[in-house]
Amino acid sequence: MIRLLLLFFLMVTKLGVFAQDVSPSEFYFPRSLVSVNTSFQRMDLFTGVAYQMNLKKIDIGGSLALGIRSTFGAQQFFPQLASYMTIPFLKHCNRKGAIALGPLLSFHASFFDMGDNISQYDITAGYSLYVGKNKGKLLFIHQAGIGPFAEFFRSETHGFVKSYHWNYHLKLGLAYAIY
Amino acid sequence: MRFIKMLIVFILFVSCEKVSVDANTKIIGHAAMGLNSSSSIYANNSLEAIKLALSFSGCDGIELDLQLDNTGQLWLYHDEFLSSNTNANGCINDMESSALSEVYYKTIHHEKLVKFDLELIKLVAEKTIFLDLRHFNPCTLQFIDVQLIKQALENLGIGEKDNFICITNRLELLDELSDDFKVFFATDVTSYGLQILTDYPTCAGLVIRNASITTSDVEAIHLLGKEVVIFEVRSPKGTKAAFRKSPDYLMTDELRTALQIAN
Repeated sequence: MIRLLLLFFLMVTKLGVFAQDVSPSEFYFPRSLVSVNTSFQRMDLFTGVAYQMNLKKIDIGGSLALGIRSTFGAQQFFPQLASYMTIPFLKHCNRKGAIALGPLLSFHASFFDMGDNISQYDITAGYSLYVGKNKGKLLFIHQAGIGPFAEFFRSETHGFVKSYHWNYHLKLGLAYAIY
Repeated sequence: MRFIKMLIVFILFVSCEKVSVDANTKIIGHAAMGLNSSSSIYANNSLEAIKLALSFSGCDGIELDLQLDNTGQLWLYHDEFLSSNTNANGCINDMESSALSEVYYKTIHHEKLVKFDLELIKLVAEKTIFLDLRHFNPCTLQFIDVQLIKQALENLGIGEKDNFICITNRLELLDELSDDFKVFFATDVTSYGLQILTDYPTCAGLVIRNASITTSDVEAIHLLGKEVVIFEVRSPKGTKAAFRKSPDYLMTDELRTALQIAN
């Protein structure tokens, strides 16, 4: 499964090269981005890909990541799906570069198996920063947030188990402007 | 670019090697969900952590740190001083049960300090429970009377339960307890541990750090008819290395990682 996903992402990089030919006629912050990123969280270090698009004053995005420690260290597939929304109050782009900064609200859902099938969910609030050169074609991503975290699983001996805590995420990545 | 793609695919195939886990190795949560583990959610040795650890289907048991208060009751606490993790100051050995019952951890959940009593024993009775017996009062710099520790364990009927195993690194305590209780000796030096197993035939086994023991050491201990607990296991790499040594018990600080590898 992991190998298939990797091959898929390798093919996606080819699409990115194609999109490079489409350049904006004037300077505006990229409306659509693909990115690779790594996010440090309570349960693991997640690395994956994301897609972000602009809807008027709001940027929304979705990502798929893998928990590195679990997936590669412990050989248990640990995917995380995430969606996020940011409203950049600072958004600027010119010939030299681009910047976008604003509050961030994100939702993460993660799943893994360790005898019990565990589901983890969190909603975090924080900030999002995109900084780039070359008209914003290539951007550095930094996002951070903190929020409530819930874990659920059905135990053979203890029935339905739920526990609550706080999660945090500190994300770094690189984004490429599609258009 | 082609080279990078091939390299990534190669790394992926290599990294998918699965470790074979000895089915006889029992997985034990150190201080319930692990010490200093961000994934543990709850404070170590807390009731919440104990319940969560024991609810995982693959978890065979937990290790708890026991300290005696000045009224002869046992409490679960790992550190020497209460101020390091709780809202109280001083040492458990100098405090009364009534005062300790008000103590809670300085965490988000504010878990209460847990008394090791019959109610808790009933809760954990189905699993293997290691009891790390603390025998030194760091506030007065004096050893605890071994008879007081023995009396506290006898009052709770620990000696009659095969799944409750005491851990100590004090020979006086090993000598006093090993006739009536199942006791493991904790050491960092395998050769010394083997000597202890020979000198104290009633000692049931050894508790040794992962870095201090090899597969042949484990086999040597098994040849004596004794058991081995490997502890200080945290990273996936270290956990796999510990599993490969085929100990009787693997005491982990990352319970989730050990269960993932074993699954």
